[in-house]
Amino acid sequence: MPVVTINLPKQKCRFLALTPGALGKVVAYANDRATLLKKAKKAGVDKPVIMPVLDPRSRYIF
Amino acid sequence: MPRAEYPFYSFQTPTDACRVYLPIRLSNPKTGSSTDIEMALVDTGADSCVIPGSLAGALGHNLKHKAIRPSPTLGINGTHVDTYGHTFRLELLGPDAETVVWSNDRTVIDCIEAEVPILLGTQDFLANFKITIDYPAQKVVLQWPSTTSKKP
Repeated sequence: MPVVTINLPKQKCRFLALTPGALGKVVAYANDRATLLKKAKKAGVDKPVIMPVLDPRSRYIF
Repeated sequence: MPRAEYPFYSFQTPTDACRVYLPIRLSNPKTGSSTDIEMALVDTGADSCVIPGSLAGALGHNLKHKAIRPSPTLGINGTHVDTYGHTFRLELLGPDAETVVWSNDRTVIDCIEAEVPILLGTQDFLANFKITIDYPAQKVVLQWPSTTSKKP
């Protein structure tokens, strides 16, 4: 099963809005959910999939 | 036995660390308000799920309501973190991130003040599934007994 690769915007952000569906593309980004939803709606996506961004240059341990 | 198969996700390039996210939706059983579809991080090392307080607030929960006693929880580095248990309906969506395949109508989930990704931990989520994280095949497979399946 191929890895789903998500292209991050150049600007740093905490959340992405993806089009619905497993292979969604990024339609908006923001640092908080409220702004993200507004931007997604403006982009024509009323019910986006919300993805928290993890910095690809960092390694995380939880 | 019902099953669902999900891909791994990475940011920027497939050579980045691949991470296991699952699409979920949370709602407040009291108010009926629900989140959009959220990608939640699977954390097999976490004893329980964690939700950011901002999200709990958006669903009508008062994070630090006087009736909610904070329970002491430890981060992996031993740091004390106050968590506040609130009741949610938790729905797992299928790989299409649209169809609900499993749900738990009422579960108390720990919420914290910090703006963290939603973490799916053991006691209140992963324990319901046989979960196979197949790194060579880059997929995660969830299976659950049909008798305990809570598909709506």
